[in-house]
Amino acid sequence: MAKYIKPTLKTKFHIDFNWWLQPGKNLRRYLLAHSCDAVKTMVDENPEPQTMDWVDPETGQVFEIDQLWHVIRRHCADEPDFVPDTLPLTESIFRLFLMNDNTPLTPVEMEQLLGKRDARTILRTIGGRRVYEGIRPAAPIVSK
Amino acid sequence: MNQRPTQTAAFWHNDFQITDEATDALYNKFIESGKPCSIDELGLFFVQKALEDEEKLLRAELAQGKIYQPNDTYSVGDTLIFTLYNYAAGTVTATRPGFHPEYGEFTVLDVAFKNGDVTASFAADFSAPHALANAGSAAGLNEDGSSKTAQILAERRDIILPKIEKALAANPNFVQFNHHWFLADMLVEIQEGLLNIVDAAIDINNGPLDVTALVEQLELDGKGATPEAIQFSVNHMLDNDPRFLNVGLPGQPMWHLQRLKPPEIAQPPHNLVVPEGLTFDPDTLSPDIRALLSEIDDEATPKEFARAIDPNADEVTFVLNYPHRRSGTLPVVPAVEALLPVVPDDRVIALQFVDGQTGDEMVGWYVRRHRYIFGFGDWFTAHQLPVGAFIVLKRTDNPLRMVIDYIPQRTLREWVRVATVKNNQLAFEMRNRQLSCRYDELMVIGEEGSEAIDELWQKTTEKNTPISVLIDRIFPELLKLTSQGAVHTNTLYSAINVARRCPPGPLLQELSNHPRCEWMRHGYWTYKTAE
Repeated sequence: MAKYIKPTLKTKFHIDFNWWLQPGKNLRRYLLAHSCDAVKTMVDENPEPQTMDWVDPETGQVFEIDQLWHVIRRHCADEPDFVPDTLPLTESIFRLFLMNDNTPLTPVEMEQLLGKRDARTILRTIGGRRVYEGIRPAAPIVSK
Repeated sequence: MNQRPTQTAAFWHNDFQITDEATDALYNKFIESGKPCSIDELGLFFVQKALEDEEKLLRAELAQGKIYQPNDTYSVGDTLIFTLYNYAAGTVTATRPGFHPEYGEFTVLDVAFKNGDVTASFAADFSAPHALANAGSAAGLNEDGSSKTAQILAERRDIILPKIEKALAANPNFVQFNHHWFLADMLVEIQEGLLNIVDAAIDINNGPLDVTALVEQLELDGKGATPEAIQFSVNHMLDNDPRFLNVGLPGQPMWHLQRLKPPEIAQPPHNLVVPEGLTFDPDTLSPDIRALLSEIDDEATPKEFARAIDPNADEVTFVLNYPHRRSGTLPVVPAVEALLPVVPDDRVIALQFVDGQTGDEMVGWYVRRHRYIFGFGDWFTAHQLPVGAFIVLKRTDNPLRMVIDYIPQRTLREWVRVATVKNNQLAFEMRNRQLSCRYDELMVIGEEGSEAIDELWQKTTEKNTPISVLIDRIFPELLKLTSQGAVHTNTLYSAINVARRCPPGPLLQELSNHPRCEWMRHGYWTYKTAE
């Protein structure tokens, strides 16, 4: 278990795909909720899940995740209202990471990209011990 | 991106230690150079040592395996070094083809890390652009570690320097003076008898001497020791001898004798001591009355209400008040402090003052803690300077040397207020006095019968006579000397302070609240006598 270090405004966060492997979590189902109608139709036509090897853009670490991640990025994430103002904060942040292929961001960067909620509010929301949608500090998987 | 431990505050807080190996290296450094080091030089030395140790460790670890880069090819059994994970090493346990709709062919490595049970997968043979690709075979190695040394010390000196001083203080091989350190074995031997020469030299000089002058007097044979080692040895010896007193600045020690130290620098002269509880609340003063605080130079006035400072000024003029005239002191108001050398602590500094009229020199003892400089009683008397005289201080190129002066004028006989004691009360009357200096007409006060005034001061202090009572006694005395029916704040301040120390703030508060005192604007007050 990694040691808990209180995050700050300078801490980079990302979606921890390991979190989604926990019992009761279902990344595919959650991704479907974020997909546009066209993608939902595609999934209805080909319901069999397919995986891909997602490569961390900073560390090179690989996670085998549902290919729906890539499909949503390609088909839905460019839509102008992909992150509507009405969306709850944690879901908005999740979509931010979908758009940038899970490149780690600080709360300050999230504030600039989202244009809603200040960085401190974002930090308070995602920086506590409770994890929302797998959004966690991008900590090294091993340390010496 | 990759961050070395030494680039983090956590390393210097938690992990940085002065090891025996580093201490040995310092020992050798002293032997090779023969010179003491300042704490800043030691800071650079130990930071550099920590960086070099880290460099060695990293190179040793990198020698164990290949630095992981996604664009390289690896096989099962290869040991990989992950620079992003603090140079953790892991072994490739399996490989398989990777799949991503955009990246083309690549390999997925399963890696087991040596420390702990962590396993993870990583991309290899990865041809798509990646931040870690082609990071260089010596990724993370610092070919010029020393270039970061000064930067690290600048950023973390508050953590690093105390750790060094604590470690060296606990090691009997090292000695320190004024945050400079040296080897105890390399101290130049100074015979006990030579300290009597130092004592005599300071006594004859009638003032402090610096170490260069003392080394000359001692005619020390350092047996090949460097001049720096000789000076350090003398400073160290005097610092540990209770007969001597360092009255210089941190980088400019000056030595004086404890036995010649005037008592007025150990305890403030009684005329300067503001009675306990004599405070004021600036918010209770109206803005036009509060503005008067900056018109009277008093060291007890809070800085934010004192006269504005000109940081570029080379001289300052202020009015001498009774407590300082009587104590032979100068007030260190903010405008004066701006001319003085910066003193980092509560040490007493001996400053050399040059009489602007005669060129004579005298020692002034700067007691920063109580905001005064002592040593001018004879000077005031020699030049017959009254309470209210303008005093001028000028800085010189040497921070420990200043010019003190007054503004001379053709000697004239003038009518001035003179304080006397009648019927055990302070009284004022106009008398014709000969004055040869410029003075503040509102604050000038001649004195007659200093001993009687001293006795009155003592009684007032012992009885803790309230300022309001002194106002009732002194205001009518001053009022009778003027045809205007009003007395200026500065005059009241000057006169009240002949009887008891009272800074302008508490005086203005008392005047504002006093039932008989009425504010007439433009600095003047009137006093309603009983019907």
